[in-house]
Amino acid sequence: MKDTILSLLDEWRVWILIVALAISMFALFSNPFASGVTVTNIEDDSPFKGKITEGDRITSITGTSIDSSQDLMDFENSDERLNVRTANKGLVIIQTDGTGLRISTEQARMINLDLGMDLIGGTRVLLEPQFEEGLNQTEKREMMEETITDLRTRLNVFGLEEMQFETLGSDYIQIEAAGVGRDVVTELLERTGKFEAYVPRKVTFENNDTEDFTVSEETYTLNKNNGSIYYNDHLLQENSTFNLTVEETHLEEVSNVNITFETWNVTNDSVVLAGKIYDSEDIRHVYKSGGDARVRESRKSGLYEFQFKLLISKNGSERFAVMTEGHPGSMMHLFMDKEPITQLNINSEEDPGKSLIGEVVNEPLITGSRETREGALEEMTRLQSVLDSGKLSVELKKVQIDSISPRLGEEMIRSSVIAGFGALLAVTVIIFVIYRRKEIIAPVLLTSFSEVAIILGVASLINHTIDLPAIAGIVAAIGSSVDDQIVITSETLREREEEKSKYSVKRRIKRAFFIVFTAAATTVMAMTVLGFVGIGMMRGFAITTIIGVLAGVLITRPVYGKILEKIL
Amino acid sequence: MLESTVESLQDWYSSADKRMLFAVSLVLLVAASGFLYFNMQRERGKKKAGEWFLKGLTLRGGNQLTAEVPEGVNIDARELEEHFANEGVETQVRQSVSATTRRVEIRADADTSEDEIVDILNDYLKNEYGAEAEDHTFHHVDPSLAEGFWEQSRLALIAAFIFMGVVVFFVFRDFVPFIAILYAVSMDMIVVLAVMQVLEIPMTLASFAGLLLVIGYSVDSDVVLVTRVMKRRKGTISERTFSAMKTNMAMMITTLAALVVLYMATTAQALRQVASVLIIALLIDFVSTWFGNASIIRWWVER
Repeated sequence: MKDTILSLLDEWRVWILIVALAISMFALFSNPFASGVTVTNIEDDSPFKGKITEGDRITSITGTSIDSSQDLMDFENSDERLNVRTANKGLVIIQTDGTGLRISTEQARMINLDLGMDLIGGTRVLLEPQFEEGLNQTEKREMMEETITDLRTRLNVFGLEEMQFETLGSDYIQIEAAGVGRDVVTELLERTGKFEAYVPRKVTFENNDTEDFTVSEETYTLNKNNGSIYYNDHLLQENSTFNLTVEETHLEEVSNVNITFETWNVTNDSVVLAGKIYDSEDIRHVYKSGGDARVRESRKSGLYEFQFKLLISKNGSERFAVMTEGHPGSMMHLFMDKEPITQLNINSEEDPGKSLIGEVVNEPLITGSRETREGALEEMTRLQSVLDSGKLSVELKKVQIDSISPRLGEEMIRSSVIAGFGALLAVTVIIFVIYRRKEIIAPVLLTSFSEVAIILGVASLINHTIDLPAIAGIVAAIGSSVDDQIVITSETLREREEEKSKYSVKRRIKRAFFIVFTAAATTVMAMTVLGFVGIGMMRGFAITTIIGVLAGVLITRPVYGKILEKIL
Repeated sequence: MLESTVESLQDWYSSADKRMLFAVSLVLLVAASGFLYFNMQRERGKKKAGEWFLKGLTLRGGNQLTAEVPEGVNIDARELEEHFANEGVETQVRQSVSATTRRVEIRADADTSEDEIVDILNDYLKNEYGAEAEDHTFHHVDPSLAEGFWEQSRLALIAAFIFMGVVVFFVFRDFVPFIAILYAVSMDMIVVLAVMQVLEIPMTLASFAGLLLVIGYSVDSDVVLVTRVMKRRKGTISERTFSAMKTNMAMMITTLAALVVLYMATTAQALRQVASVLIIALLIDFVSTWFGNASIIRWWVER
């Protein structure tokens, strides 16, 4: 027995198997004593920005070991220098400022294998862009990319959970959200944020019971009574609204401008009247390219400034002019679903320093600045998407939805593993019953387990997700592996019955491999074809089968043949 | 016992008339082709032309909701369908019970919505059992997308078949084995398709994957036969054929055992579909190889 095993080590094929198994195991369990947390996201203003990158693993901070995102929370409010130990970058010093770490992490995984959404639960939606006719491939691709950018931005703006976007061919966009509620994707697609722009005006009572405020050429009066402020008979409470019609304006040919006011910060003797100048309806276009949207470095401040143009409806432009007239320093406050987004100055395009207060501006320039070029670009894109979020560049039709509850997914994994082991057990028992030789049980099991290990190892190396079809593919590969083992076994055994020369054994095994290779070639071809069907939905099946068959004919089954040669 | 069964099988197989064995396979092939053809003709007369083939969700389109129901709830599928019909939703309901779970599977047209189906189901469960569905999984496939998948599947099947033919011809470089193997593989395909109709196993992307694998398994057994009979010198032709048959039987039984275990253990529809297609195929492949292919090869070698 010992001699047999030792003599096997003289075979180069056996060494190939050992190396392949070692690589697979390393790929799968590269992180066997997984400790720490893997960084999944670093926010722009995080103290970690630039020091570590996404994918890094944090194992300890200032001597305290970090085993979960919870452990990290203890340092959330720290305001000191932290000695952060990472698995791949060693010791990194991070200066925190007490405003939070602003990174997201997940527990490090022991097995380095991505499981498909059909196994862990989640939602997958396939979207087909409804292109207008007559677009060429390049235009379509550009629109697809733009759409994905829009979707990504919405994700950030709306604060939805992490999702993956992928284009399948040139025709489909796939969104996959693992372990996320099924409504989230729908929300992403259908939620159109309600955008509003206000110009606020503070009115303070100076020891009187009445106070005037002017809008363009008109003057209005507010009254104070028993500590409450009224406009006409309308009580001004926090966030209450009233309408005004400005009959006479400072502009020629512009009269009867309707403005809705919202009251903010109501106190005993002051109120902020915010005139709504635009809402989503008023945005005709958001310029996104060329000179109409750009980022540049400011020599004065050293900051990166971005600016882009909007096209605003006539009514919106007039409201802007009327609200800002006579009030230099007016700021525009932007809101998305009542949440403040930003405050902006509105300046002339030709002369960014020149204010456009009181003028009819139908193409206002939105500006802002950030410390880095990337930051400025990102903020600009975010704002553009917010302003444009009423619509995507192209309409998307949901052509396929799969939503799987995590519990059912978990059960799929469990039942598949049971099925796998059960099938292997059944196969082993039957091979034993047929050949009545207990010596071949070990090689049969070794071959099958090696193939599963190599398939999973390769999947891990090429980052291929193991989904349900992939599991079916593994089963198919094992099925064909067992078939091949039987061909090899029976060719080898018949040898014993008939003639006993070493040469002949080799010839028979060679013949067995002729059969094995022919069947393998056919299977690989059929599976290659399958990989392209159904926009690659059965690709998991095809890929695992192909890996299994190739690993089988090139690595494991030759070793099985060699082992049989020695032991039978 | 095993040995004696094998021996009597060998006696019968060796003495049986090749033409008669071949005729058995041919009758099966013709019957299956005829069945599929008449099915197609019959359905063609109906309004939904081209629906002659039983297609599952991924190739037909529509909505499918699988809900887990509490223990003790035993749903009458007809009654639930009626309940849905009263709400104006056409459905097909199936109940599946496994060791750990009790599920109801509801299929509806693509224009219904997930919420609508869940609401109607829960409405029914509340009225009848005072319960609600515990958890559910939902799939929606647009009919136009499904139509595209169906087109692709047909093309892929033809492509895989051509590739198989090229490999086989390249390997044997001989006309008769080539034709014999082609005969056996096409027979596997056609009879499997017909049996799927009879057993109401729908064609989906998963069962299609199984069908493509059948090509590989089928060639495997055919090559075992052809190489044994043609490349070996020892023994009579019928002895060689039978030794190949014994090997193939061992292959078939082990693979069948694995597939049956898989079919019973898994709760995943996709795995069940792959497994059932392969189980059918393996049984049919035995006939196509040892009645069809083997008879042609024996006739050719003996002539």
